[in-house]
Amino acid sequence: MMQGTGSVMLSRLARAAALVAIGMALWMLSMRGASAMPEFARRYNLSCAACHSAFPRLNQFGEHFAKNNMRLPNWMETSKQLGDERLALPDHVPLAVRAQAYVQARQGKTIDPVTGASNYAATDFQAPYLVKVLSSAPLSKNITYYFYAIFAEKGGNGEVVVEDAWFSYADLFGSGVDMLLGQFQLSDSMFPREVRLPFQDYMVYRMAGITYDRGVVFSRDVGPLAIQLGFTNGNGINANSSINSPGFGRPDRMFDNNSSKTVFTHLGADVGPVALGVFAATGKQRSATGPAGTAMGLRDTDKRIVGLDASGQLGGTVNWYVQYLWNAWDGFLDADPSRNYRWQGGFAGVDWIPNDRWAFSALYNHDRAGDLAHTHTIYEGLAMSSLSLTSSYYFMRNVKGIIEVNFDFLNKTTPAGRYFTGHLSKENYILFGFDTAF
Amino acid sequence: MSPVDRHRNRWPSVAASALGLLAVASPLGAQAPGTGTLRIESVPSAANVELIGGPAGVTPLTVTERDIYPNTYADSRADMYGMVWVRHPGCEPLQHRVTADDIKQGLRLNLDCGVASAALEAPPALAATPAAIPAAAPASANATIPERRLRQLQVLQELLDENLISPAEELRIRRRILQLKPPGG
Repeated sequence: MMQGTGSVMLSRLARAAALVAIGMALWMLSMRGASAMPEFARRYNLSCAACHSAFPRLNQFGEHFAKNNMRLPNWMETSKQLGDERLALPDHVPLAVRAQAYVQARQGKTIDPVTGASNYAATDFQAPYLVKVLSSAPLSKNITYYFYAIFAEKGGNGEVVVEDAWFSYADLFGSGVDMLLGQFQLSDSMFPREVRLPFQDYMVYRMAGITYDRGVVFSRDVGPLAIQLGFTNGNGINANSSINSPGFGRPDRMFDNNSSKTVFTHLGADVGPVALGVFAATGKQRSATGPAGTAMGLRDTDKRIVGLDASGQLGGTVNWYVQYLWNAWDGFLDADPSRNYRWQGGFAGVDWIPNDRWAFSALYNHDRAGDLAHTHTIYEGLAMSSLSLTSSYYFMRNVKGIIEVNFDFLNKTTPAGRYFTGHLSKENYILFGFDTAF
Repeated sequence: MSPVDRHRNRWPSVAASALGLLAVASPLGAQAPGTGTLRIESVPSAANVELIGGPAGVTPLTVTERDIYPNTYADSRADMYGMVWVRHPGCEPLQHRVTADDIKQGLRLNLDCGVASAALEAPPALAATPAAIPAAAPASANATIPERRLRQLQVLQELLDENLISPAEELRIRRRILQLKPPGG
């Protein structure tokens, strides 16, 4: 009883502390000037409103800007004038910062799938949630670079993670084909995660493993069709290994872990007021092995993905989007290599931006584990059914406070096998915080 | 059920209520005070202002950033994105790309109201309403009447030489210019 009362007291204290922290931060932010301007706005002396309907969501012109090699026609005039027409140095170091900090109350736990040991924190200061340094500039008539590095993402203090990092070359050899080489997300060809309004993610992209990878993507518009064709290593952006002779290290490193490449394509077209897209990808992934499938196996297994996406607008203030992905993971589990696994999922969302101060979003994620259900592996966790409701208040164009509530519609399960897998804890949460770019 | 469990089970509804309250409290549909407006003035005033969305009014006027940077627009109007067009009878139309500095400081546009622009715009209208010619062609305020007439006649000759107006129109406008009386005369 004493313990319960103590927990309630602790919870109240944490809540009070959170409210005080939020109040202080709100007050401090309201005192800030309007000088904070992200890099593109600085370079072209434009308001953030030129490209964003509500930061970070892009408006029609922002999408055009991104597609147009991230530049405006007068980009050369914004470069340092050194009297050398073959030198387009940015006249300042083109850096911008994005920072997020949150306070969250949640029901989700961290659960060890092998031992069942769990950690629970009813309230959680996730501040800073991330600090991101971004940079981009046009370097020549055709070439632009872009990258960002995240410091201490999601509490990983001491870490720096480079995610998007690429060169793009517009109009390759005068062919009308644009090329992008570097690290990027395959899913960016559908709905870029980085410009979504909710805190909650587009979960199916992460589950399907079509977020960050290293590779090349070619884009071209053919009539009403926007076509993208890409090739990636297929093993993410963390892996690399020393090339040696044998055992004696050479300076170069191998980023891929096999010779096969993931091939993906996206075809998009506007059909009336609706933007429709079809996505397909095929490649290899390492099998899952070990207790509850927590370890990476040695076999390369086939994986295929087919996706459909649609989006549109209603009345100029409402944007809607829908995504569906079908996944085939052949022989994925070492426990039964002869079995092929199919699963599917998707999400649907609406952003309502009634004015310059407020944005409201609803995002529904729905994923089914399919053939991976009841496998007593962590892949039972593919199942998800949650609705996230988000209110964003813009103190400035580039500074917002958000409140998000997540409702988990999946029923809790109890472990049915040897391991602690399945939906063992509800994932409701409420989150307050700040998101800013300058 | 322990107090902690009760709290856990209750908080989603509390959270939803908080979100709902926030939504109800927001000034939906209202332009937030002090955010993103652009004051447009012109010399001369009473000029027609056109933005990407179409006619916006007459100077002096105040528009919002979203009037200049709408979230959506027709592809055929893409060239007008972020632009302000100002037109005044007798003046050369002026287009201006809006910058962040403009939004901060306001926009004051000086129109070129020399006779050239007036004449270039005028021919079809002049043919229909010759009486409008003198009013549609005000010259520089500092120019004397003979200087203005000379400049008007030179421009008229250039228009005729380039076949932009017919000889009959040229004759009719020439007569008008020569019949002009000085102010007060």
